Amino acid sequence: MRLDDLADELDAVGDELARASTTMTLADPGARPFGADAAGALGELGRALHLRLSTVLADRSRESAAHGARFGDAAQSVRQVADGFRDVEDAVRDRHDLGSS
Amino acid sequence: MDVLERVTGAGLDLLDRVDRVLASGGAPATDPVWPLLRVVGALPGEALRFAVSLDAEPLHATSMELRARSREFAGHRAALDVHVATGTWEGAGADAFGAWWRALADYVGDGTSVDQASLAGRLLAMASYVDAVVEWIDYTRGDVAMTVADALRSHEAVALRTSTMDDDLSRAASTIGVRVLATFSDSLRNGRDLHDEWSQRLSGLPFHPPSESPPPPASGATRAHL
Repeated sequence: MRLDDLADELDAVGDELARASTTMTLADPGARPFGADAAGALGELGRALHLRLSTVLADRSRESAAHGARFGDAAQSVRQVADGFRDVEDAVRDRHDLGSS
Repeated sequence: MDVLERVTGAGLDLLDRVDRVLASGGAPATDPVWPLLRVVGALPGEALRFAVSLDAEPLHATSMELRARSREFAGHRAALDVHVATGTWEGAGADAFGAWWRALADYVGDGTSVDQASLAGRLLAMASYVDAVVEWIDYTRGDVAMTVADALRSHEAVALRTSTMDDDLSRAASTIGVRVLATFSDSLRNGRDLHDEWSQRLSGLPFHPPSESPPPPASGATRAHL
């Protein structure tokens, strides 16, 4: 695999993680199935059980977005490496061309 | 239709009668129904409406969605892992990238365990949490249905419908109220235990970068596929 392909794949996975972060909270079924509308301790428990889920969905969404950005940064670093190699190759070729002329 | 749905209509009719008797002060101050009312914070009829409102179906869908996400994340990581392992370049820069890739990949995880501190692992843990809530809902609905069915067959239910004596009504309401609220008290305890048990396993997931910096451009590299 070429370095540019690796960078493209890192970017693609980063984009997937970022996309997943925007839809993560859609898995939240809402508070009603937990009995959160009820009064008293039962309703409190229902709201707490739902809050646990909605909070961790938001956490995973945030973490997924941040990790997507890390993949993007890694892709950028790999592209810089590839550019560096190309510069070195160009310099060697130029020197070789100069030497042979 | 589950068992609770079968007894809901008759159960609400009976427990609403219980609620009316209890709300009008129809039990002695030392009656065991009062401590249970304080624990549950709802009259028996209100508590039954809570159980009826518990709905496992949307939670099944949530659990499946979270497991699918976990597999998806692990799949992205596995595919890239194969490509990284092909040895795109060698040297100090490649070593630095390898350390970074390991940290990035570990954070995504392979989705093999709910206890794995990774995105895929936490998604599995969330699915398992939702499954545990579904199980709690099923148990609660089942236990409440059995309790209500027993109450409907009791002679206290007959008394509540036919007696005109305040003492008979009070005793019947208290007896049924204690049975129903005790079931909800158990359900509350189990639900709170479930809530507390999962708090650590669903906690935030800090990223730990490797001690080395990201790969420097072409630094110390000896070979690469461009």
